[in-house]
Amino acid sequence: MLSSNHTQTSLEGFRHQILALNTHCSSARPWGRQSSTGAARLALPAAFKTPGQFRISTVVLSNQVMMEIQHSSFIIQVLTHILFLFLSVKEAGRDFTYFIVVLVGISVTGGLFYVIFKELFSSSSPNKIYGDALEKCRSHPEVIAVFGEPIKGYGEATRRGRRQFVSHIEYVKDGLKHMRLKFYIEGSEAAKRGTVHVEVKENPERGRFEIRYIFVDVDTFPRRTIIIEDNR
Amino acid sequence: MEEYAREPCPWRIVDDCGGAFTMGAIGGGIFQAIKGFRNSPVGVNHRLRGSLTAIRTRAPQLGGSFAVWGGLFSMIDCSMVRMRGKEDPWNSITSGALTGAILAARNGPVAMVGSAAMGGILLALIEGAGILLTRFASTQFPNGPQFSEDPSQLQPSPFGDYRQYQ
Repeated sequence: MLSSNHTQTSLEGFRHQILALNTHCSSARPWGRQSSTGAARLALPAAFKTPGQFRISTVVLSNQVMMEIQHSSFIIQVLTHILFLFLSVKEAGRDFTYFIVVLVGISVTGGLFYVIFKELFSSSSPNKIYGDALEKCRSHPEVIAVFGEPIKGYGEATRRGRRQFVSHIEYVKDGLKHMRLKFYIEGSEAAKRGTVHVEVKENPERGRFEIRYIFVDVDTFPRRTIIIEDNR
Repeated sequence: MEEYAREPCPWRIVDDCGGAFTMGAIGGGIFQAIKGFRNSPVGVNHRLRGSLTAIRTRAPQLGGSFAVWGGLFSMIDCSMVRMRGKEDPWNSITSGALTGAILAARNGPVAMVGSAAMGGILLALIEGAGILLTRFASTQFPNGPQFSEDPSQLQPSPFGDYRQYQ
């Protein structure tokens, strides 16, 4: 990992230097304004102070040499590209594995966020319908009379004492989506518990859920049913 | 449902606290065992002893901090249930964020905000996983929630009862 990174960075630096040389050549192009034998001072980067061709940092170059340098630097650039590709193919396998791992992680996180946001903010989520129905139960005088004033609602209890999950069932009838929910309410009256049944139906024009019925079954002894809303 | 007629809330704090301590102690024990083993001088005897020392000193610490987190979280959660009179995922997310903020309170407001965001995001992820899990479980057992298939069967009983009372 470390060594491969090192090669990559050094290669990257090499390419940058070549690119810098290239731009330098093209910006110091002498034959446009000056005479054809115009000279350009070319400061070469340290990497090119190799023995042989370029030994001095400041050279006076004729037009032809300029062209040649440009040409050869282009070839060097192409060769570097090929080398770079070749080197990266070797790491491609490992990089691909990391990439897959990262991708899986991101998609799992995104999926979880999608689920929770849909549950919390979508108007057709069970959680939202549960909240609306609970508000209607709280403001209903008969429910208050039976259960007592601060009414609380909860869903199915899990083993760890969480009661957030509201049991619901979705089905399609006559091409319209329906959803039925069941949750429980309790008030200040001791040992009184009610089960609230809600059914909502999709409105074909607006595409939103509308309440079909809400009724409360009182589970403790004087059993009765309170109808809060019935649009059937 | 009938066996859970007891109110879970105040007792849940103790439950969560202990659960978090156990989780932290076991997880920290495994982690510290490996770490202590690797950081000790050569020799199986040394390594095992180092591993044991690391577990003894470090695992209860981690368990303790987990327990603090779990207990505070559960306390805030129960308070929110009490105040809002409603149990839904918002309680968990808010109490996760508040717990993070409170536990980072000594590090200044910036750290508090960051920690709160982390707590909220973490709890949101956990809640999302929980929702997915329950959904998955309910697709495995399609007749899990006891609803009658035909709505007309549901209809007469509430109405019949209701009219008798009027």
